[in-house]
Amino acid sequence: MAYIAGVDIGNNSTEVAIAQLGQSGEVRFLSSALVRTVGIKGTVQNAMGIIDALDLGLEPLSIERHDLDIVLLNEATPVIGDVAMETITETVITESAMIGHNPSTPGGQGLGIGTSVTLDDLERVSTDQPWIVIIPEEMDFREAASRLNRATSAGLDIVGAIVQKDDAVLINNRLHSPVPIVDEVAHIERVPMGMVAAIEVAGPGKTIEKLSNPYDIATVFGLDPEETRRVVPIARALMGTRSAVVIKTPQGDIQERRIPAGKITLIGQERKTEVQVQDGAEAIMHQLDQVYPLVEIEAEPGTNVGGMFEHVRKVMANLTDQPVSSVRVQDVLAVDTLKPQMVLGALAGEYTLGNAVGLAAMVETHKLPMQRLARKLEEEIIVRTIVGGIEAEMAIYGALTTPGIQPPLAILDLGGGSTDASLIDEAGVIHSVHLAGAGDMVTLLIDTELGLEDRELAENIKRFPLAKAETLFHQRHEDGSVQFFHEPFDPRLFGRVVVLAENGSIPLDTRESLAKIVAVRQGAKRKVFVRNAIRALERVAPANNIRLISFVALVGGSALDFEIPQMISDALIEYGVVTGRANVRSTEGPRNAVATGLVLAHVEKQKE
Amino acid sequence: MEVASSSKSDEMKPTVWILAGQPVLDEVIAPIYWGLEEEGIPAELREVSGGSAESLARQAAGSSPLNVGIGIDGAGQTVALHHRDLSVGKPLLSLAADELRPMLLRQLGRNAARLVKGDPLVLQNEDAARTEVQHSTKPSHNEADELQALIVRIVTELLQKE
Repeated sequence: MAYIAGVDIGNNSTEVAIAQLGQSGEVRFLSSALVRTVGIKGTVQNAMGIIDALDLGLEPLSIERHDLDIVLLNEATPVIGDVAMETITETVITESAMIGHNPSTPGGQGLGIGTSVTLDDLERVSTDQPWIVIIPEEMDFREAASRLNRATSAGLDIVGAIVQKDDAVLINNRLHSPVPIVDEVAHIERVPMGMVAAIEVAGPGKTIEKLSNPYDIATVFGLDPEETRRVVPIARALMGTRSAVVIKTPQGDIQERRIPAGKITLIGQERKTEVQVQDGAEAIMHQLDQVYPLVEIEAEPGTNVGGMFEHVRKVMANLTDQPVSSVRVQDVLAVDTLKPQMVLGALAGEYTLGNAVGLAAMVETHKLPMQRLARKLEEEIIVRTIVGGIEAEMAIYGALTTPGIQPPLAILDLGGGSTDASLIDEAGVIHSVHLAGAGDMVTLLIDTELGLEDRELAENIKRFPLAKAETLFHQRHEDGSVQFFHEPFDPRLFGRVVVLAENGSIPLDTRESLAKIVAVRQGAKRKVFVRNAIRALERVAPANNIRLISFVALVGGSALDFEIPQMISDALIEYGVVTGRANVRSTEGPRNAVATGLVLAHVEKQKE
Repeated sequence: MEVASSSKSDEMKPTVWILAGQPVLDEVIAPIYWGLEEEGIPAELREVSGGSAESLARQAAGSSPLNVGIGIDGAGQTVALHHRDLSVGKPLLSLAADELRPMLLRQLGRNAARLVKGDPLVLQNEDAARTEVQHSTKPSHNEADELQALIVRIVTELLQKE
């Protein structure tokens, strides 16, 4: 009778399976454990985490570490992924020309077109044209309202106002003849005087109609076709807002500028091609298919993508003691995305959605120094430690313990840095691939599209569902269900969209609706995982035909995600494949596949 | 400024109730009203003989068809914002005597309205704080510090509840 431990060192977690081998060669699994991986996978720092995990698994069994006969490590796949974002368009306003923001409470309603003038200058202007009045923050709203009323009584035609403070409703309520008013314009000093301005406020629950339409802007300002073309970014930026101001300045210009994002060179076994990053994700992925199988990818130095490529190469080179020049980028996943950007030269913190391309890269090399780690561990725990088998193969053996499965079986390992697939055919032959783009890419896309600039928050949005605290005592979940509480919410949560994270609700400081955030989150997961699931399965499938695979089992951390398995299942249903989360040893779910496979493979080898 | 009279016939109008002990100070009431008005929620004021800000706020919340009430104590020393569903003695927000400045009072009015609408409360607004500092008649006040003190107090109260 002998005790065996299988140990799987992953990028994020280290898993252990402990089993007992009977006299007649029967295997009985006794326990499993999971801890965070210490250090980068494949390095000697991992030993600490492995010992922790072993102790955790042994503790309930009352077995000591030295009672183990053998510890089996996985031949960890030498794959590292990284992600980067390249912005390819931005909107630049060379002279103040646009205000398009959503103050929570604008005043009045309708469209007003007139010439901009300060409240102080109002007494000196003529009555023969309409005016739009600029009201700085020093001005009390009562004083502003009474001056506007006096001016109107004196025969001036006032058609709108732009206010620095949050006073629009207060001013409007005190006007004898209400006009549209936009407030909370932070940089009111940048508003040019004596220029034609248009101001529009929509009714409650509606969005502006005129200033978000390029032809209406052309009508208001008498623009020629070339000028109309140039106001398209304005109109687009104003779509969906409740209030807006557009001012025409003689030199003012608004441009949608394309930022040179550099090119990447895809080198295949037979041919080589260059593609401009600014051509977008589809162009990059199309070219990638053309040159497949890939040998190397190069990016222009000085660009974000170039920097990211250098970084993954360096990390891998350090890890494996190889020169940087010998590490090759073997796959990329490009995804089109939108990035909210502050408009340069804006008046009230407006932003537009610039186009961006997200890129994930994957480097693969010969072997990680697993032997070194095995020796180190052996010294520490004085138990024979060997490298038991290749990760991808072990995962298949582990996944095969799932009830209801048989070859040809493919597994999809949805990780943080890479998406891996392996296939075992009826003859027991195993093929595997590693593709760039996985959980970290999803986090990057969420971070970018919501303009969070907070990876940790983006990670939480990725992992947990949302809810909104609708009253002090109940919250509505994103699926529409309602949950009541006995204690009132923290006032900081009230009315906000919150992430239902493990350690409590995290309020989001954003005006984006819950539905929008859910859409961004699900979109990011589809763009990465569904696309990669198809890409990976096509490469391992017999004759590249997914229909020839009978069973697909999801393993790895992202298989535990609350919506990714369903998305992949939805995508694969049309291929007639049975798709689901693995249930390793009928008890472990999608976890522990590799550790379990190591034990089983070792026992098989002993028998031979 | 319109101050509603306390006739029985308008009791069921959807308003936030403000109960204020006498004497009612206009410089305290007015900014609260403006905060509510900017958010588009009507309010009505009733003068009472006495009571603490918290108990008046709770009473006002109980009577308001919108379930939200504000209490101002007789000496004009403290102001509290309450909701009908919150326990007595546990107002959502309150302002101490040294916090009764236009910006914070207006913010309390604004939050009363936002509580009705289900919009996120405004608990930290650095722009508004800066504006207040620039135009305060007492330039020695540091709004940011006081805001922080207010938030610390709210959090402490919440923690004590648990």
